[in-house]
This record gives sequence, structure tokens and C-alpha cells, in this order.
Amino acid sequence: MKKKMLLTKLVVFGCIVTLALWSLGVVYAEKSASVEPIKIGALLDFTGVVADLGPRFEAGIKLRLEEANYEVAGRPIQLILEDGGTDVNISFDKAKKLIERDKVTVMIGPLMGGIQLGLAPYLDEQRVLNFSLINIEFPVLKERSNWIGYPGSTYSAYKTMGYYAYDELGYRTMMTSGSDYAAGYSYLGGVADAFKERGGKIIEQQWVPLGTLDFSPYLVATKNADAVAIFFASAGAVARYITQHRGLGVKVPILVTDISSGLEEDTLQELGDKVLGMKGVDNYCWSLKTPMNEKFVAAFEAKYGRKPGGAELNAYVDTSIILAGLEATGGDASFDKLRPAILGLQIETPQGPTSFTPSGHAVVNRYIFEVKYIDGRYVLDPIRMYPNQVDPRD
Amino acid sequence: MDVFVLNLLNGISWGSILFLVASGLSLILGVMGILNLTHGAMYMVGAFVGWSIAVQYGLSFWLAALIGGLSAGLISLVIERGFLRHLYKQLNEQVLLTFGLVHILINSTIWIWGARSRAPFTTPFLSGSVSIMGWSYPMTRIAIIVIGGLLATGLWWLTNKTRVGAMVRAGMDDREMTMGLGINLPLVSVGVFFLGAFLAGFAGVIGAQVLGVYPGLAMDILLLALVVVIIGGVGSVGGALLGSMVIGIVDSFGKALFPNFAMFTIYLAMVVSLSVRPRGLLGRKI
Amino acid sequence: MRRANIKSSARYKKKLAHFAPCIVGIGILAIVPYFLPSYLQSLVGKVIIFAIFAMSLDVIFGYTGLISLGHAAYFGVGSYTVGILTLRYSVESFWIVTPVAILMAALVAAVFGIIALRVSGIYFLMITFALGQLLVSIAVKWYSLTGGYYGLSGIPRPDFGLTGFRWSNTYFYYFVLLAFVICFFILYRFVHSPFGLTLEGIRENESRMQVMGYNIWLHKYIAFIVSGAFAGVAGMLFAYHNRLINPAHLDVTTSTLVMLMVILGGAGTLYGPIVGAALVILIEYFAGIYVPKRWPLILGGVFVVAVMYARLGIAVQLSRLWKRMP
Repeated sequence: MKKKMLLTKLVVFGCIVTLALWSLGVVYAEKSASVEPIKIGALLDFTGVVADLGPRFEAGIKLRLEEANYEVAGRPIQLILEDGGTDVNISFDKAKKLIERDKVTVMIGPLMGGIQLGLAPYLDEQRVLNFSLINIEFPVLKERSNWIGYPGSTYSAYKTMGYYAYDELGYRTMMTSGSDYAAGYSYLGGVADAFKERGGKIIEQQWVPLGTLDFSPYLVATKNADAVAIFFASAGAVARYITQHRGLGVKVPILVTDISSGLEEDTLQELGDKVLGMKGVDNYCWSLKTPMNEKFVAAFEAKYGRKPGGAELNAYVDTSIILAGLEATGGDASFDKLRPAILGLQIETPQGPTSFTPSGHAVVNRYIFEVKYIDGRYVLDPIRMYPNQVDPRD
Repeated sequence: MDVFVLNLLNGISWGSILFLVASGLSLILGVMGILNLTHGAMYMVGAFVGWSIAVQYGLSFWLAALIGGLSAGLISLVIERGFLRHLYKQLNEQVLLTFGLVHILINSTIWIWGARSRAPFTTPFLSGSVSIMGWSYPMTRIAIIVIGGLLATGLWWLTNKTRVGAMVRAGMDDREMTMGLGINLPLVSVGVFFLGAFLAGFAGVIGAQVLGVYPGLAMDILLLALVVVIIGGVGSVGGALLGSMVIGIVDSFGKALFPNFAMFTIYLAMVVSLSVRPRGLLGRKI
Repeated sequence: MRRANIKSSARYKKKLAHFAPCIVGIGILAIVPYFLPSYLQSLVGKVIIFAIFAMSLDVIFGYTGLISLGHAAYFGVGSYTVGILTLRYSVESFWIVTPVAILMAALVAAVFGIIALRVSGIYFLMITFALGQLLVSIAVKWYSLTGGYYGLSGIPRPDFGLTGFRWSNTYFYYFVLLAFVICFFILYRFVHSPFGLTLEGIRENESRMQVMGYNIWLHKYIAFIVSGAFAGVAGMLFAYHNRLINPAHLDVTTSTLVMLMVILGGAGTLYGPIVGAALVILIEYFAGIYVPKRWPLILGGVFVVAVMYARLGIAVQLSRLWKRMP
């Protein structure tokens, strides 16, 4: 009698465990049983430190896909979005899901350089074509063969500001103040090297720990240079630095790299007079005066009710590149066909023409901007263009 | 010399912000025996609410600070009445519960306001600077120091010179005896809890003049407040003040002199302090 | 003569009834690869690894009653040792890497234990937290050794030195399952030994145990080291499994996550943490599919629910139900 009861209980227990495990399988099957569209994965960050960028990239991608009617070369397109959480572990899990479960062969993202480095061995192994959303760390591009680096590498991105500072602004000494991590070293390293190339002198390079709230110890230690070039990982940090810089009455003018992100729309209006006249470098701002950009800005504003920033543009162009590549391969999304097709492209984007080096480094224009007050708003006005920027190590 | 003075002032203003937060944390821990990990989140909530009032709706900065404090206080009351009340003296449950609530609070804040950082803001009266030794020093920081000092004095007076304060201190020393004397300690405790949270939320707006507003504040501020309470001592306003000043000044000078070792030294200080003198410099035994 | 036979067979039946769920559970886990795709085997593998991690915490927390908020430190040390040896020093052999990893975790536990056991209660909690975070700050700063903030990636699968052997997800799953069975067996014997019972006595009433002449400090210390060593085992497995490790794995968020698993499942039992690990990871998985942006909200909710309504632990409640049924 007791034996029968035990057996029954065991069977019930066994069924429950099996059911639990099987439910995983059901959900798995449910999601992947669909018609064969081209699957584009997007690993963006909707939570975590750069959570505000996720929706902006998403906006750019979706605008472009809508313009293409979610199809290319006769095949429908399925966009699969995942939240990487600005965390390498979460991003890794999501990347695995996108690749092993959803079977994407093209992926936009991950964004952060460190996360790219962390996921690089896996992504390379899986032969997925990855697109960077903002400048890529050159070593990742060079050592791996599965990346497309748009708009370029972090090192090459802002060199033009080093040239501009020396040639046009007449500065001869400069210091840098930046976030203490890989991207910071590359961005400001590029600026510093370019400045030195022209004959300028770098007095000091300050590295500020990520997440620093109070910049005053660094500001107080600002040397008597002609300018200080800054790069900080978040617009919040840039805003804090500038506010505290002005508050302490530091005289050294600020040059802002990544100005379109550092001084993005809302932050720019909030800072207002504090940044009037400030100059910086980036690959895009909505104020660029090309016909293609004016169309793009109008379309974006019509759909989202605000102006597009650098993030939206990059995502938009990444998507354009993918679509152009797929046109060229006739809808073949496999790695071995798609990558060479993309490398051979030459396309027009709202920010200028784009082509690629054999390692996947995009060749784009970079612009110098100045903060001006026009028509009741603070805007970044483009004042100089530097075409066809590449990484010298390529 | 001028750099030294500036760093010192920065340290004191940073310490003042920390004091506003840590004093609440310390009192709550001392009086109620609750390690309230949501305290940093209260700072964040106050900061966001204050931002909405002051920047989004353009109302008075001081009103924003007040309402920021009130929102934090109210939310904390709900937390205490709804959850923490049932976990008296169950330390690990408190830790887990408040940790879970922090996740909820941060994510809800992002849901409501979006994750974008807000630039520092202040009231027009304080947007200028004063001249100190050839540098101009922002009035916002001076204001923070003044407010910190006023509140420290107020809290000291409250705990040492009022009847309520005596009840609080008695409750920290011997809970049963105090209640046995007919004092409604639970009510006093809830009052302390509310006050502590109010201060944190208030600090969120005051501190926003320098730090700005972003969701990560919940964890960043909590960590520093914990260090202050550990080093300064639990349940003591003087301890919180001493601890905040020490941390604020060391952090300011440390950043200037040893930029690489900030986090490590803070944790090392915690470990040393806890092993050598667990109750902190001026703390009461708990 | 007959009476002795009846007695032993009754005890045998009782033992069988007691162990039957284990055997059935392990049996089902063993055949998982036959009905789940490779991607999900990996997920179940992760559950098993965290089950080991949670069990290790249960030794110090559930059985001994010490609230440690820095347990991920030993987990992370196990992981990082694997990563550093394989990637920085090119030591590939499993037979060297694994023992060293476990040893390092135990060593760190031994050192931290001496510091932490000087205090108790809330101070113990805070000091274990600080010690864990201390390791995090070292991991973040020591870029050349640990890969800094973003950690080490590309950790290879274990190398047994067998020629012609190539890893697949399924093989690795069985490897993890085997490790789990071994760990479970050892820990089971440990907590049911006289030493383990003493630990429970210490948890229940420390002063009484002291009066009875037990060396309290030594018992706690040994439990701390054992606990750390097994956390190191889990960490070692995790490094091979995930092939990517970073300071987050040493961090308080991981420590609180495993603490949640223990409490949710049921502290002071060995099977509770296993159930807790499964629940937490599965909830995370489903939340990631259906409400990805709100996962932290759900996680927070689980914390709150676990503490307020499932204090004893879900596995404990279920097992009571089980025993009560005829």
C-alpha cells in the first residue's frame, strides 16, 4: 500500500519537473516557428547606464525599415530587438538568444566597447555580422573579421579636432580630461596625437573614473593650456563637468569631442548660455545642410516629434548599409556573401558619403560644430568639414 | 595654498550632501535596527521629483526641495508600514527586501522619467559665484555647506535638547525599558523613519545643484552613505557628521592626489573600521 | 532473526522514499539533452551551477546561521582563477586549473573568515559586503591581470588532455551535471555529519553550544571555508560554462541573487537552494522574453514576495505538503 503511494507521488513529482523543463522548450519552439524572413538582430541598451540611447537607436532603425517597407530584394525583414542592459553579462545572454534561438546572421550592436570586447570571441566564432552603433575600438575591428565599424574607429573619430585646434584656432598647448576607460583613451588619444602631429604640445592628460559626480578636484587642477579637450561617457557627466567648470570660473576653454551626444538636444537647451560659443567635433548634427539630411530630419520629426541626434543617425545609416548590402546580394543574408558585398559599397547618407576599408572601417566625413543661438534655440552649427577620415593603423 | 583651500571647500560641500543622507540612515539604523538600503533610492526619488518641480514646471527651487523630501518621506512610510514593520530584527530579510525595493524604485523611476541624466539645476539666487583666493567658487556649494550646517545644528538640538530626542536616544539604548516607561516608541520610530527619508529626498534636490539627477544615484549615494555610517558610527548625528566630513574631504583630496585608488580605499576603510571598531568613531552599540 | 530483517527492510524503504525524489530529479536532468535544444541545455546547465553556488551559501547561512553578503567573492575567485590561468598564463590543463581554482577560493575564504568572524550580526553582514566589494575594486583596477571592468572573455572549455576529444554543449552539460552530483553528495554527507549538526546547533543557540564545550569559532571558521570552497567550485564551472567573466560576478548583486535563491527555495535544507536557483533563473529567462525592459522590476518583486510571503522557502513548503500526503 505504502509502496503504491510512494510510486504515485514520484510519478507526479517527475511529471512536474519534466513539465517545467518542457515548458522552456515550448516557448522556444513557439518563437522560432515562423516563415523565413531575413532576421536582423539589434542588441541595444534599454536599461542600465546608457539606457537613454536604446530608444534613440531603435528610432533610427525603425525609420529606415519603414521607409523600406520592411522588405528588401523581395524578402520580408524581421527586426528582433533585445535589451543588453549596458551590462556585459546580460548582453551576452541576449546575444546568445539572438544567435542560437532566433538565428540572426546580422546584428546591430552591442554598443559599448568593453561589451564588444567581451562578446567578440563568441560573435566571431558564430560568424555573425556585427555593426557598431558608435565608433568601434580599432583592435576589435582588426583582430576579428566579423565587424563593420560605422562611423569609424574611436581613435580616428575625433582627430580632426586636434588638427582644427592647431590650424584654425591657433592653439599651441592643450590638455585632455576624459573618462578613464578604453573609449576615453582612444578618443582623446586620437585628438592628442593629431595635435602633436601638427606641432602642438599636450601638457597633461587627466583620466577621471567613470561615474565621478564631483569634478572639482580635476577642475581645480586644470593646467594653463590653450584648451582642454574633453570626452565623458555620458551626457550627464559632460553637463556636470561644464557646469562645475563654469561654476569654478576656470578660464581654459573647453573643446567637446562627441559633441552631438555630449550636448544632445535637451542637455544643450538646459545648459544654454554656459556653452554658447563652445566648439566640438562629431560626425553628425541635424543642422547639417545637405538635401538628404533635410529630408531625413523632416521624416524623423514627422514620425517622432523631435530632431534626430547622432545616435539616431548612426542607427539609421547602419540599417541603410545592411539594406544596401542585401540588395547587392539579392537577399542573401549569409555572412560569406553579405560581408564582402557591404565592404564594396559606396552610399550616400544624410551626413555625407560612406565607403569602407577592407577591414570594415567606415570612411566618413567629420564636422566641427559651434554652439550658437539661432531662432530662439541653442544649436550646434557646423563650421568646418573634414572628409574621408580613416584610422592610420588600418 | 589656494588649491588646498578649494579642495577643502569641495570636500566640505561634498561631505555636507553626504551628511544629509547618512544622518537619516544612521538614525534609522540606530533607532529601529533597520538597515534601510532604499535610502539611496530616496535621494534619487527626491532628486527626480525636485527636478520635475523646479525644471519641468519651473516652480520654486525650495518648493522642489520640500516636495522632493516629502515624496521620499511618504514612499518610505509606505515601505515601513507595509513591509518593514513585519520584519523587526530580521536582518537578512530586511536586506533582501530593501534591496528588492531598490530595484523596483530605480526601474519605476526610469519608467516614469526615462533614464536620461538631468543637468545640475539651482535657484536663480544661487547661480552666481563668489571670489575665493583668486578663483571663483560657485554659490551653490556655499549654500550646500550652509544648509548642511543648519541641519546638523537642528538635528543635534533635536536629539540632545528635546524630549523627543531623549525618547529616541533612550529607545536606542534600551528599547524594552523605554517602552516599559510608557513611551510610544513605535510612533517615535516611525517619525524618525519619515524624517530620515525626508532628509534624503531633500538632500537629493540640494545635491542636484552639483551632481545633477540620474537613476544610478540610488546605488552611488547608498554606498557612500553606508561607508559614512560605518566609519562615523551608528545612531549618532555627531558620528554621521564626522564620518561625512572625513569621507568628503578624503574623497576630494584623494581624487586629486590618488585618482586610481578611490574605490579600493573606501572599501578598505570599511573593512578596517569594522574589524577594529565596529561601532564606528562615535556610534552607539546596536 | 526475522525481526531484524523486517527492521532493516523498513529502514531501507524509508531511505528509498527519502532519496527517491533526488534520484528521479537527477534522472530527468540526465535525459534533458534528449528533449531540449542545445541552447536550453545551456540554460539548465546554468541552473545546476548556481544550484551548487546556492548550496554552498546554505552551508554558512542556512545551517550555521551567518548572514554573509559577500559570498560571490569566492565564486568570482574560482571563476577568475580559471580565466587568469587559461588566458593570461596559458595553463590549459583542467587537472591543474581546477584544483588551483578551488584552492584559491578556499584560501580567500580562509583569509576573509579570520577578518569577518571577529564580529557578528549586522557588522558581519557589512564586513562580508565590504570584503567582497574590495575584491571587485581590485578586479576592476588590475586590468593586466583581470581584464578590468569588462573582464576576461574567450575562456576555453576544460582541457582534459584527451586527444581527439571535442566539446559540444551536450557533453559540457553532462560534465556540469556530474560535478553537481558529486558536490551534492559531499555536501549532503557534510551537513548530516556530527559537524553539520553542530553547526545547526550553533545557529539555534550559540551560547548553549558554547557552554557544552564546543569550539564555536573553529566550527564557524571551517564552515566558512567549506562554504567558500564549494562556491569556488561553482565559480570554476561557471567560467568554463559562460566563457566570459567580469567583476559583476564578484559583486554584491551576485551575492544578493544567490542569497535570494537560498531564501526563496528554503534555507537550511540542501534541496531548497536547488529549487531556489531553478526558480530565479527561470523567472529571469521568461521575464527576458516577455517583459525585457522591466526585468529589474520583476526581480525586485520576487525579492519582496520571497521575503514577505515565502519566508520558509518554497521547497520547504512543498516538501511539507509532500510528507503530509498519505
